[in-house]
Amino acid sequence: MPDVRGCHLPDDLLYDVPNHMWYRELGDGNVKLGMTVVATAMAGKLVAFTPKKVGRDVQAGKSCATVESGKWVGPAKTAAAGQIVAVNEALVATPTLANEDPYEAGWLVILKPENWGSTKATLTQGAQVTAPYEAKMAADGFAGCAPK
Amino acid sequence: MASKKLVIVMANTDPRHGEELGAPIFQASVAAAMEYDVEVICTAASGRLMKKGVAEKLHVKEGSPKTVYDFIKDAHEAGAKFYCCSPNLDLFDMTKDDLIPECDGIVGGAHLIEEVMETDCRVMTY
Repeated sequence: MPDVRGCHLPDDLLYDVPNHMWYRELGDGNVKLGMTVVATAMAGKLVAFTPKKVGRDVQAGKSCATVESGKWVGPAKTAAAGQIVAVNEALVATPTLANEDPYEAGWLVILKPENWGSTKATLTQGAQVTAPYEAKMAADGFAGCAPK
Repeated sequence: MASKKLVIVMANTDPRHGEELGAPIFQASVAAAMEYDVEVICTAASGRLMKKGVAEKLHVKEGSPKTVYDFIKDAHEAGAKFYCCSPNLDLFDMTKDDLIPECDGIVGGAHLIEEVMETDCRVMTY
């Protein structure tokens, strides 16, 4: 599992590094999305998670959810267009799940994507994410994730 | 046909001025009794009303036996939902456990914006 500046980035995921998002193919054509630990570390303790509603169509590069912390509010952007088929209600109730367990309990939404093959080709495989994420952290001036 | 929604935003309603608290909460009761979906979002100064022990010490009219908490309970019983804005937890040093049982949840700013911009609702702000 790549570990970039103390930030864990699981091998089995796909990454949209510029937007700090991860993707997991679910095998049924749908994909699960979440924020990387880099995103949650930069945001700080999350205080609110408001996803787009189930059934809503979302556009590539646009928000699938709004995330709020004590010092920041912003969109979680989906790289793929598609339809929201599920949202993480547990995360709505307990936003800090994204800080505590960003790759499992802290997932954001499940998307039925359009043109997934094209989108997937733009994402970075987990096994190759170290270099691009290191570059991203350097560009953003992000020192790294705090040790747990 | 889906029920219309009324969102009552209490932001500038200061708990230190009891006489300001009756109207918005009573209107929530009325709207709920009229079978509208009602959300009362308590934010800024009004967020304090969602903390245990606060509203029960406040009165709309001095000397009245009915507390502001009684008004909240009436509205909740009629079907109105009360929400505390998430920054209020830090603002008033609260945790989830400090909130009154009539508080139906903690919401962020995006929840309010989405309700206002995306749903068929009317908004009243206090």
